[in-house]
Amino acid sequence: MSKKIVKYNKNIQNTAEEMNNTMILLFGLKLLYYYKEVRPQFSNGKQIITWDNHIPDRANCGPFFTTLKQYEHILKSGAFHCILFDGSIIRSAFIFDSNNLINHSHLWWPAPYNNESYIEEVTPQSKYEDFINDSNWKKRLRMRSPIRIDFDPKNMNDNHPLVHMHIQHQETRIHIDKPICFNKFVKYIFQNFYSSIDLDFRKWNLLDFSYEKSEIYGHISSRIII
Amino acid sequence: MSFDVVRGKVNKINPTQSLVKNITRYFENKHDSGTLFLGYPLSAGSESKVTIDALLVSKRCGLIAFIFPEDSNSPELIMEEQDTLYYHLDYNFKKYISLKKGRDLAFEPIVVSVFPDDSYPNIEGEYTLISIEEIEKVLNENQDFSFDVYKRLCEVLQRVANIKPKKKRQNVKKELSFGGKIKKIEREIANLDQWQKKAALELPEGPQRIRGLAGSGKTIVLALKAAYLHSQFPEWNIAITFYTRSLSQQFKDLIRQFYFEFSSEEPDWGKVNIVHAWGTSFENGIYSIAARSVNVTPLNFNTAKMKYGRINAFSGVCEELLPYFGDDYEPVFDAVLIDEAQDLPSTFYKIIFQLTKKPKRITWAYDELQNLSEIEMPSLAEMFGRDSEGNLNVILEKNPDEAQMDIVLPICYRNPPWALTLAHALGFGIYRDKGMIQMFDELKLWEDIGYQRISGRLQYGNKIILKRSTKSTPEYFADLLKPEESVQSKVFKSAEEQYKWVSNQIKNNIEYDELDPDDILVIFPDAYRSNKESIDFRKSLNQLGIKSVLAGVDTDRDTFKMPEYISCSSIYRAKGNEAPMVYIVNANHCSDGLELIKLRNILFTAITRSRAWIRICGVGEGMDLLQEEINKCIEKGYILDFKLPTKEELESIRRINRERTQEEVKKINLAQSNVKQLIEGFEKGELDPELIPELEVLLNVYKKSKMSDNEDE
Repeated sequence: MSKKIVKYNKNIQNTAEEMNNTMILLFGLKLLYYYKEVRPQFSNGKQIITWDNHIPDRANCGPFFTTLKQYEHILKSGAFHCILFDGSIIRSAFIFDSNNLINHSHLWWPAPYNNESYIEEVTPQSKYEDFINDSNWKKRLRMRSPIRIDFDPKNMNDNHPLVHMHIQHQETRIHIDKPICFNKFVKYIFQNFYSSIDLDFRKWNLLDFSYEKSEIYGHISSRIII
Repeated sequence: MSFDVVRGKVNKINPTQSLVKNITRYFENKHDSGTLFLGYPLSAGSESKVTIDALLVSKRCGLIAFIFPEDSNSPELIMEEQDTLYYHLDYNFKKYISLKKGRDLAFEPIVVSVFPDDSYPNIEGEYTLISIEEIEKVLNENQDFSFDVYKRLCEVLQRVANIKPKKKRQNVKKELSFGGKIKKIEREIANLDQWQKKAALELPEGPQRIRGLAGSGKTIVLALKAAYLHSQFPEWNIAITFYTRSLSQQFKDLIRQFYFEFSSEEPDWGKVNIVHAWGTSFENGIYSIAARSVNVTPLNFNTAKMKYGRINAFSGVCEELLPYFGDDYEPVFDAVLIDEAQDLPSTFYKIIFQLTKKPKRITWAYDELQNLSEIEMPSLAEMFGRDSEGNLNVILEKNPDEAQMDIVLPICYRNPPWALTLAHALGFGIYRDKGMIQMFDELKLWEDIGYQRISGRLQYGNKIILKRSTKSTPEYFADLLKPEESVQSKVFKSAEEQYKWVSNQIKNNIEYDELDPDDILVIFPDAYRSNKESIDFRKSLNQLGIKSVLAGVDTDRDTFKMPEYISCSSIYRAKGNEAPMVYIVNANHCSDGLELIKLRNILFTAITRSRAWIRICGVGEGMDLLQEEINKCIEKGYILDFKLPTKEELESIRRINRERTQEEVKKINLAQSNVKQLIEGFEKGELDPELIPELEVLLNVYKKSKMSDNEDE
């Protein structure tokens, strides 16, 4: 408990509260093995939400995308927000400049192994260790690509849509209409990759990040298509 | 003699106490009546707001305003103070034509500066300076006030603030049409009564409880209190909170209107916080403010429901938050006003207690009956807890020399007495063949809520006859309405026939009765089926070219009424709202069944939404049963004539009709449908009872349970 309450802007606060609420909800529904409460922070004059041990440009992205090394690194360094019941990982980062969202990155890293049952007794790490050391790993291997959805106005160009999805390869960038909130990402993941799970999304808050003008990012082009 | 003190803001405690003592002594000795207002706010003049230290209005002395000058005030300053106050009084009262005589006021306000002893300066002329001991003398010297002016003056002072009827109703041409009548009723309601005024201005050094039936003006009292507090203590951080979302706009409008009277300005909305009890990520609520103030993520309804279930969601999140408040927590609010307190869990009050600065100016208004007897208000210990030594954190003291901490508003302005009596008759099942459904634990409540005993004593097991007392009923109902016009009910063969009839009635209401479409509310008591039912019903409205909305579905969640549209609503959305004409359709839903207390409370709530006219409609046997109960109530002339249950009977009534958990409901429904299936099977000859030996077991179990029930009785 602290008497000093740092004031964050409304949007980052909403984003953090949305993430926390959803993770508590999923945890209660036994769809998460573990989650970490989100707290906004200040960084270089911006307000950000990110995962623990966020070290850019190491095993986090680039050539390591889709490699076991990346999954292992994220898992072992605790650089995630939550671990799903099947050992898959979700994490999200947001950067706000005042009340404007200027960057986000959502990642779902599916567990590389077939999970027959909910992780309960063993930890995700030991489950992973068990898998890679198993002489029978070929039978247990499950090949699924991570999904990353980024909102990255700084690097926007013809081949780099403002909001895009990485799948299968680091240079794949599938156009996405507009920045999305944590709930929308989680909803997308569950609807597409866990469709047998009956989750009621009707009451989920969805934060709407939409920008009519892109001037703040230095682009003179017309409004971003939503 | 009748003398009352309304204790608002007191600036100078000692002189005020002496003044009250001396004036009380005068009233004890003299045959006179009056009211002394402490901290009375005058309507704003052109420049500034004015609050009078003490203002006395008496039948014999008229209007006397008292000033307590600072010790250091020079004679010039004292004269200036008196002149200014006189000017404001003159300016203020001249606004009322009823108080004028020719171009001037019909009376001369007296302004007096009161000093602790007789060492005050000697000032010549029209200025009155006295010591506190000389008050009686001054009062005795002014004894020839006109009774007629006194009456008019009281009316003006009681009003405190003008609430203008929202609607002008310029389309009303016929005085005796429904539109004409509701126009008159709305005008009458616009005046505050003396209890409301007292409840709004009384300002205890601590918490305050305000009780009253639905429609007794609690919301208005709280809004006026908020405006008064804000005008007297502009630096205070004030919160007004409630559970029904649509109240937000109503509070904002009322507070703005009242505050404008006190100060001619817009309230500082940074200081007056109108907030929902819970709050969302987009809007602050008391709970979310509290959570953020201790650096905890506020949970939303969806998450809370997962953790604690629908019913306990809010109490669960509040409970979860409580341990985060430490001894060094710095409260946020100077005063908190809570409406609809009966809908909020006790853990919420513990949060409020933490959020409020000393001396814990928490005012909560509630209606003991909104939920009839099902959910009772928690005790003070449950609400605010106890300190480390086991003493109650909040005590409602009754001290005649201090501002009242516990106030009851006795008059029900919203509901005609007939509708209210019928609502109670149906809600409690007073005339139900199969027996009563529920009863208050505290029988005295019947009198508190405005019934008078015609015969019998309020004791368990006694026969009793109760009737709405004239004291608790505004006169305009009897002047303007007749019971047979105000209350009607009708049984239909089919839902379609019912919808058609209601639609035609509505058409008449709009075309001939001069009601506006948004004066009409159609309530669907079955919350789970209201969407589907309203679609069917609205087909018949559409056929007649009448536009309608389903509140909360067609409209955004804070909008209940829209001009030019009929409001249709499920019972839950209708709570906290009202309309001159209310149609309850498919009322048969509430006639009998599982969880009868809940069903009858729905009916009670639905009927009490009506400001003037109620039409109870339903279909089939269920409605026949209700109609019988309604007929009995009408035949007896809208009285409640019944035998109060014994305590044991009450216990058994509760047990049978209580609310069930979802699990229980599922089990009962499943069993019901299985038994129905069996019966059908036998009737159609598809099943042979001989082949189902379990039937005999079932019969035996049933017989046994019946026997033990009889033993219980």
